[in-house]
Formats: sequence, C-alpha cells, structure tokens
Amino acid sequence: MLNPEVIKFPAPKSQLTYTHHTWDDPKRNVTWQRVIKDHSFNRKVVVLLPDTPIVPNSLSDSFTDDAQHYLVKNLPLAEFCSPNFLQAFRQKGHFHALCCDTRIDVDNTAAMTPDGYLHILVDKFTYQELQLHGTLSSHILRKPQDRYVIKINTNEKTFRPGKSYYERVTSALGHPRLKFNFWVTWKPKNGDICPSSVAKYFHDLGFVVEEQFPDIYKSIASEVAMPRLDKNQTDDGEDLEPEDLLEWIGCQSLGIRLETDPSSMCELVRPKAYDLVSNVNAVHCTGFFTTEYIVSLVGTLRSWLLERSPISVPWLSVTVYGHPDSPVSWGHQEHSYRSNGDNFYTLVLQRDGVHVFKVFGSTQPLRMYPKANNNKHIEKPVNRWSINEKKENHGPRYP
Amino acid sequence: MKQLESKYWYLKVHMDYERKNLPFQLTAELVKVVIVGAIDIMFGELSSCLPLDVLKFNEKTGIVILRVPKDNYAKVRAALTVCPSMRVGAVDVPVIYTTQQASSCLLSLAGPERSIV
Repeated sequence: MLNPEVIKFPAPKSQLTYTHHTWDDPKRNVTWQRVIKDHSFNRKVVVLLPDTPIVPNSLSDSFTDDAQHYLVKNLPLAEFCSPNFLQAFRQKGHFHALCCDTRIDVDNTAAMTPDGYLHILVDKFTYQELQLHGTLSSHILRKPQDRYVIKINTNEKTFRPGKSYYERVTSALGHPRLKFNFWVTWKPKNGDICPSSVAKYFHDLGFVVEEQFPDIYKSIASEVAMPRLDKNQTDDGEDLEPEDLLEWIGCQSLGIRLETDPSSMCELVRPKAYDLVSNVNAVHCTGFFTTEYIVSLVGTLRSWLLERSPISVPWLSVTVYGHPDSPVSWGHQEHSYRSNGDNFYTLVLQRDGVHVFKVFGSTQPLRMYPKANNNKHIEKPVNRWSINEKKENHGPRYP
Repeated sequence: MKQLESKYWYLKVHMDYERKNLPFQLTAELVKVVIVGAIDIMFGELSSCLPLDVLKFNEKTGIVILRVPKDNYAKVRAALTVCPSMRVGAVDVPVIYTTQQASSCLLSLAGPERSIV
C-alpha cells in the first residue's frame, strides 16, 4: 500500500440529535410521541428516580404489567405470511417480532414491524437463491456487494393465496436457512382478547414457545449532585450543555461516582450548578417491550413526578434502548453495527417540558479496503519556475 | 432537532490477568498508568500524553470504563488490542484487554449487549 495514513485515525461518526419543548406545545408535541411510536423494538428501559429508596408499588407494577414476551424457536418466515395469522394477529393488534440471536453484519436476520412489513437481511448467496426483489444494504459493506435488504409488505391486496406474487414469496420463504428464533409480542386492539393467544397459536402449530418476563435490576446511589436544568437561577452564568447532561445520566446508570475536583485519574467532575439529592434509584428492566408499554410508562412517570415536591425530585429520566442487532431502528430506517449497535432515545421529564435525545449509529457504509492517502495532507511545493510561464510585463520599454 | 457532536468516546474494557502474578492489588490510578504505558509502546510518547480518564474500575470483575477524546479512540483501542503485558512494580504481568463495548455516548454502555459475542 503506498502512502498509508499514519497520523489521523478518525473515530466512526455517530448521530446524536436533541430537542427540548414543553408538554403543551401543540405543533411540536408530536416530536416525543413520534420518537416513541416509531421505535418498534425496545429491548431495555433504564429509569433514574431521585429520592426513591424503595420504588413504590404503583411504579413497580407499571414495569411488570403486560410486559411478557414469548420466545418461539426455529420459526420459518413463511408462517408470517399465512392468511390465518395475518387476519387474527396483524390486523387486530400490534404485532412485533425480532430475531434474537443473530448479528446483522454477518448472519441472515429478519424482523416484523407492527405496520405489517417484513424486513429480511440476507447475504449474497441466500439472496440469489431466494430470487425476491431487494436492494443493496445502504449501511453495511457495499463493495464487495454482500448484504441485501428485502422488504415484504403484507398489507398489499395482491398478498393473498392464489395470486402469483404470494405464491412466489411463500415458496421463497420456505428456504431452509430462513428459520430463526424470534422474540414475539402482541398487543390486541380489543381489550377482551388475551395477549397470550399469539403464544397459543404458535404452540398449536407445533413450535416450542417459552414465556419470558422482564428482568429487573435496581441500584441506589446515596448522595448525588443532580445538574440543575432551570435557567432562572444561573449565578455563574454557565449553562449545562446537552451532551454533558447525557453524560451525567450515563454516569448514574453505570454507577460511576463523580468527585468535586478533577484528579490525575479522572477529569469528569460534578456539574457546576447542582442540587444535592439523596437516594437516586436506577431501575434497569430488560425484556422485549411494545411501544404502547413505553407510552403508558411515560404517562405513569409524569403523574408520579407531579405528586412529588420539586426540591426532592427536580426531574427524572427514561432511557429506552433498541436491540443492537435489529434490522430497523426508527420506522424503516436501516440500522447498522459498526463499533456499536446504538439505537436508543432518552427522555428527561420535567414538570413543564421534556428534553428528547436520540442516538443512532453511523450511516456511512463500511469500507473493505482503506482509502489511499495520496499525499493530501502534505503540501505540494510551489513551483516557482515553469517552462511555459509567460514573461512578466515590466511596463513600457524605455524607448 | 439539533444535531450534536460528542467530543468523547467511551470504552468498556475487560482486563484478564492472573491475580497471583501481581505484587500488589490494582487500583484505578495504577490502571491508568498501565494503559498509558500500553499506548506509549505502540504509538510513542506524544500519543500517551493525550487525555485519558478512568471513570470506573471494578477490581473483582476486571472491568474498566475509559473516556478518551474522539480523535484518540482508534489509537487507544488498537494499542489495547495488541498489548501483551503490563509493567507493574518492575514485574511484567501478561494481560489480555478485551473491549466489550465502545460508543460515543456513555449511556449506551449501560444498554443491552449483543446476544452472541
């Protein structure tokens, strides 16, 4: 390799967006609800609750109510296309399915979002064998062409038995390599139907179904300096940057203690404008959650916040993580795994407004071979004497 | 929605070493010295002077959480991958550094890990 780069090694880019608005803002109120609704696959929820040595029953019930999900093993994808399934589950509620033990950058993987789209990510050989229409993945390796995305819309009118498109799709999805272990959860629109009927349906078809409940882990920090978010009490005139707020929330979720002064070991210190709060409880719930669960959880937390006093509980935060190996992150946006599979959002709930942070990974495609340097950062020497240079005009010659 | 740029990258590194080979127990300050030494061997003195913070060190599990500026992330990760041993008190102790998670946002280190590693 000529001219390898030896000085600059930039880190992969990642996207972090931030917005802040009040609860009653009618135009922009759509933003935080849209962030929650579009994020179909939620794997983990971390809630920071100040001044809560023991989580009250109303809150701990809201974590575990209606939160069971099912693990279905060795399910072929053609099962998601059968008309019985679509009529009973896809049209009568919100159905989420995600592959649980595949990696998006090396294995074949699939997922089904509540709007009825089946997203399949396959490698080149499987794609050529399936012969379904798909596109080259925009985020994962593009040269050599290896990863293809196939999107199948089960809502279309031509997607019924007897039509040629349907027959082609179902015979292709019967491919032996397209059998995965799925996490499945279903929330019916009608309150009378039990959500576990989806587990019964797959069990009756002969698949192994396991019921799983969310895993809850709590950790408490005793005396914590919470950053002050209200802007009317700035004595120093220093506002907290949004990135620093996110870093502080990260420190509390991981259990990192922040000192008052920087030491030789660590320069990250307490925020300058802070309120001392006792007993910050970090609740970690791991499971497979629907968007409706998150919406009701946020509603419960908001009403809990209004019941407590502003001095002991200035604000609280909710972080919702997506699965690092899910094929889609928000809506139909493709998700990539470069050095991490970030796709999460954080809501900082205050009494009068909400801060929304959205983090997702890089959208640049990977490179198999590094880009050649071509001496770009070295200045080329200026050539003062060139053969074809025009002679300088010294003005009129002296006659 | 405003686009923000994070200035730092965070790494969660697991240190695998034999405890009986060490003359004394590791503390967080000592971990910083050892990691800076690893960067020094691979990239030289100029890179080892760049800021590196040890945010958390758990002695029992051997997990360290580091914070580095954005431009040094690739160097730190590369140096930790190839480093064979750490020099503690005039003794060379073999150690394996495994970066379990790395991200530009500290909050993602608390998130779910991949199902298969």
